[in-house]
Amino acid sequence: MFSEIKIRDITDLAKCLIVPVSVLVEVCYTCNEKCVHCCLDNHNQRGMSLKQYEMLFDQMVTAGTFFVILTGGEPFTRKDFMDIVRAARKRRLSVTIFTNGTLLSEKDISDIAKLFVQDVHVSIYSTNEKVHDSITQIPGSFRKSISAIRAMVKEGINVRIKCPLMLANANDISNLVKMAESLGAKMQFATTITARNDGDISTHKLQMSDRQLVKAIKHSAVSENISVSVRDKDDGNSVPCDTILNGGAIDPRGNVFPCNQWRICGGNVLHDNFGKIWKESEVFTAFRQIRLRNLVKCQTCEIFNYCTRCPGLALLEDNDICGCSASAKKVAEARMITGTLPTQRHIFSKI
Amino acid sequence: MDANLFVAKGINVSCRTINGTSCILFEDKKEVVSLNETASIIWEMINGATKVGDLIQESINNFDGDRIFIEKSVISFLEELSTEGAIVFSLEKFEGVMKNV
Repeated sequence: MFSEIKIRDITDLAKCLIVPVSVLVEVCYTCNEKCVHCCLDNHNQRGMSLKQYEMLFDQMVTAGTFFVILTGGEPFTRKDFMDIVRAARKRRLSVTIFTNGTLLSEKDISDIAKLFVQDVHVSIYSTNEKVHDSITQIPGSFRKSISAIRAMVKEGINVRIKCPLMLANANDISNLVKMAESLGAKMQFATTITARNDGDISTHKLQMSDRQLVKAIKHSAVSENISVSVRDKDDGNSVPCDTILNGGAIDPRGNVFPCNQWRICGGNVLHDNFGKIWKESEVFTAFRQIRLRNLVKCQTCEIFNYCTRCPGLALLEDNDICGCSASAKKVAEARMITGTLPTQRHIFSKI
Repeated sequence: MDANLFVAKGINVSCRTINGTSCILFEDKKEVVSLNETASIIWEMINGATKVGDLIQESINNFDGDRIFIEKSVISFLEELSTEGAIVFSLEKFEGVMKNV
């Protein structure tokens, strides 16, 4: 009566049916760290009430949401954050938490384990305490985050360390990989420091140098080595990013976006049903019509196969949702130099 | 199988029904399974307040076919789910999956 499937089968089905199967929920913008590269343009929003999140989760379940990522700001700055997690799990949503780990109590960790939270992602920026703390701008933050990782791993929680690479930490990749291994955590790197949500690109000065970027891309922990491109330039019908079909993001005020980097609002869950916004928003419907054939520059671009262009970033940083993304191009050039093809299947995917 | 036992979905599972198909994710094993149409209907009835006997009776009412065959199929399905850790049984009604957390 049942057969084994892959999560990818679910996300592909959701893509065809326009079901928001995986939704990122920003429960607050408040944070106890002051990371130099943070994409948030303010840290004031405290998020909706627990009752409003319970209502939202009910609507998400009806809309077909299976996976929910709970993030901030720092979600644990909310005293009721574990109640939000509990509310999501009670509705059988598969929960992933993004946190810096510094505010987790023993009870929080025990409850995360008991609630079978799928993954907890913790931001660590360096193996060097001073470098990490200089990025968070909070002395002692490294020790607290590492201590939380140890405690979570001990409880059997799946922990993933996430590290956006930048000038200050680009030479620490191998050490970070070793540290993650020794802690019993997975390791994930990002190669782009994005603009802030209001379009402020001052964060770009933190990005890796071209030389660092090439070196980072060459590292097996940053880029998986594959030999065949996962995208087809000749398929003009492919979609720039799956997230407009099977994703979704909600900010602390209840605004609904295609994703947390694609900051065009389709509606607000305090005024309208989430599923209705997702399916019927005029602006989302318009975005869903965009195909590779509409991206004129991409069609003739020599480094297309190496590019992981994000439509949201193209809009935010380059003011053109159908145009070239300078951030993506920079990474794609480094990929081409190293002959490293990207593995992200949700970008330029077949419909 | 005792028809008077209440049955609930396990705390370790996440699930969603998409386009009539129920998908279950075992968070502890990181495995995903999809249920066929009949199994999906039974799965949806498992809510912690329904007894095994009620599930069997509801299935007999809902599905065409031999009574005994349906009963055996439901029990076999519940046993399979139980083996996989997707459901739990209790003499008392479950208040909710997160009762003690």
